[in-house]
Amino acid sequence: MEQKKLSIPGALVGALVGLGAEIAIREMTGFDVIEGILEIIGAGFGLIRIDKRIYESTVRLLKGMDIQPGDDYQRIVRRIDELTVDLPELRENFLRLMEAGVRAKSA
Amino acid sequence: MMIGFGTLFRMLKRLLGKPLEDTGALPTRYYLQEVLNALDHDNIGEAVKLLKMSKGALIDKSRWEMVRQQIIFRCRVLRERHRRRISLLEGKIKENKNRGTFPWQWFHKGPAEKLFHYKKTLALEKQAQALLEQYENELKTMVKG
Repeated sequence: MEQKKLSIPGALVGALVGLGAEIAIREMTGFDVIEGILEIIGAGFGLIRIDKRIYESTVRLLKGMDIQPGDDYQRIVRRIDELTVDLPELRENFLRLMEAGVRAKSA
Repeated sequence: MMIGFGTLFRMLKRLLGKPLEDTGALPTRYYLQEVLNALDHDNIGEAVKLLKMSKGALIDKSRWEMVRQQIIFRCRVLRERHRRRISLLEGKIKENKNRGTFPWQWFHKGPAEKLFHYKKTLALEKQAQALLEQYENELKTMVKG
């Protein structure tokens, strides 16, 4: 079997040509090729929407917290504190959501 | 054009996502999406399994941490529910036992069946609670490097 030869200068030239082409396309059309390809790949895997998905999940968790109709704000906050003792980031997000809800209600 | 690519990659995700999932080779965000889907259905076991598999890019560290905290939180909420049910069932069992069996109840199967049902449900509730506690402990020790 014939052994394949790899050429390092050839690879470097190829990389440079690719980079040159990418820069030229970006300069002429304003379209970032690599970023565009990554975005398309990301969109395919539903990756771009991950932050929205995390937010939706946070809202769902807050709603699923077994809050009684008669519970007041302070009581709910106390309950959140109990359940998120060692979960500071989640606690902060919950409190922000609660504040936003209160502000929206009073507006 | 974008819709075409979107559909194509969705198809690829469906085709390759599941078979490649166990390899841990897929992007962290893929696993996080799947973890959140499992969490939506309260499938904590699957969520923990998938979170363990995501090796994680540094860029997604905060997202990974947020998802981990979300699972721990859900475990606690569900455990609390189980705790309430357990306490209710224990009360019911005690109530049934206190009544005792009077001679005129010997041929009446109702209370015995009820007691059996309560005990069976109680065992399941305790099992679920223990499982959730185990998942919570696993998640607490999982810290991204």
